[in-house]
Amino acid sequence: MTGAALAILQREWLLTRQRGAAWMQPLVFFAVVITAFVLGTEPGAPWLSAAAPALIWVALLLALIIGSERAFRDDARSGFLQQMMRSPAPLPLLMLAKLAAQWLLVAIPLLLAAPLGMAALDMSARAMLSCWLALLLGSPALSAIAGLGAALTASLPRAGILLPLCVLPLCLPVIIFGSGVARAADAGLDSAGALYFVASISLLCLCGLPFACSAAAKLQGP
Amino acid sequence: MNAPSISPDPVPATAELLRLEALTIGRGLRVLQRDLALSLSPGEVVHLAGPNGCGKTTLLETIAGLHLAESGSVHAPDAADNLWIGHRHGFAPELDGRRNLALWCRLQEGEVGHIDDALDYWRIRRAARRAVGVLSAGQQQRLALATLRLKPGVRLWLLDEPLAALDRQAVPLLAEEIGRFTSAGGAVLMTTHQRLPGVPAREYELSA
Repeated sequence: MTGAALAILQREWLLTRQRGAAWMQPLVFFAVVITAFVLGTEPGAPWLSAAAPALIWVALLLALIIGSERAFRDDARSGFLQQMMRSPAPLPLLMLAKLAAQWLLVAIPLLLAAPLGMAALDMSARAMLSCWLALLLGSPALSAIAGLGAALTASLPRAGILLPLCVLPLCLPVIIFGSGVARAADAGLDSAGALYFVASISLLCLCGLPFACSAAAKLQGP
Repeated sequence: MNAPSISPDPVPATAELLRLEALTIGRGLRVLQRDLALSLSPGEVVHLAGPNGCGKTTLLETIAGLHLAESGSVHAPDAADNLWIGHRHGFAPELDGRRNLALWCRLQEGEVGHIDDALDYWRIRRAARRAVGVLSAGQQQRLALATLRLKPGVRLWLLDEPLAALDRQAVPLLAEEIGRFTSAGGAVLMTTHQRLPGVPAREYELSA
């Protein structure tokens, strides 16, 4: 049973390695959005560092959506989704492996690049640390929600427009509390409450969304 | 006069491997076939026949547990006890054939140790070193049929157009494989537009 889930993880890793530089696409997008914002504002504007956490979160979210758009598309087309349904292992477990692979392969590189973006946006060291912690705890939720959107739109043409529309509203709570963490830290307040809230949303998503993804996969007509 | 019967119910000589009762299948909102009834005993091969679009693939997928039936029932061994090969095989085009079969085994609880034997039987050991995406349709079909050797424990094969894209040399290989399986007590339900040489089969006709 866990063998099947590990096989999904291994398959995603092999495919990412085989597809070459495609894994860098969300990373480049993230860098371009942040850079464009920095270059487009007046140098040293005081409000830039105040807006920075929200900017980082939005850039991360959009990059995650771009990175997970293909997550289920190729599987629906090749028939692998049907093979997953045929597996003796429970489908939600396999979906959890799929979402975990998305987080490891798409979100982790973004998390590693995020401090550079924060520095470019002139955040203070204390805000950077708590913002990064919030990103670490909140990204599983964003990644899983983007995965659900990808599962829902797997066999639709032009899902590129529909996917952000169905994913973005669901991500708002994470964005609100996530960027609140850095703001509170910057003001010298205790940010633990908001951090716990972000973590609890991630836990909730990890428990529920594998089941939602399974239901979405069953809706995809071959 | 209703004397209690003391003789037990006659035990069927062979247990059925598959029984469809009043099965109505559909795709989306469209009903394709109504009130199908069919039963398969060990050793039997049944050809599903019928014009294109009459629901042969949907019937196999319903039995394989990929669709819900509109009504009626399917009594079949559960997913672990049947093996389904559809039109699309779920192989990742970027990965080589052997790797795809190994992943298949781990997902479907097949025997990884039988992969070499299966590749040799279908004469694709060399081709399986290349990415599935660059293989011909026939080679990909051989690769999919190789999974028949990777789950030796199953009793029922559900094969959707197994002869599609196969060359003349591969057809007897499949016939031999099916012959061996049925003589060991397995049953095969398959769709095909041509007959397999040397495989006695019953025809089950779906109406248009």
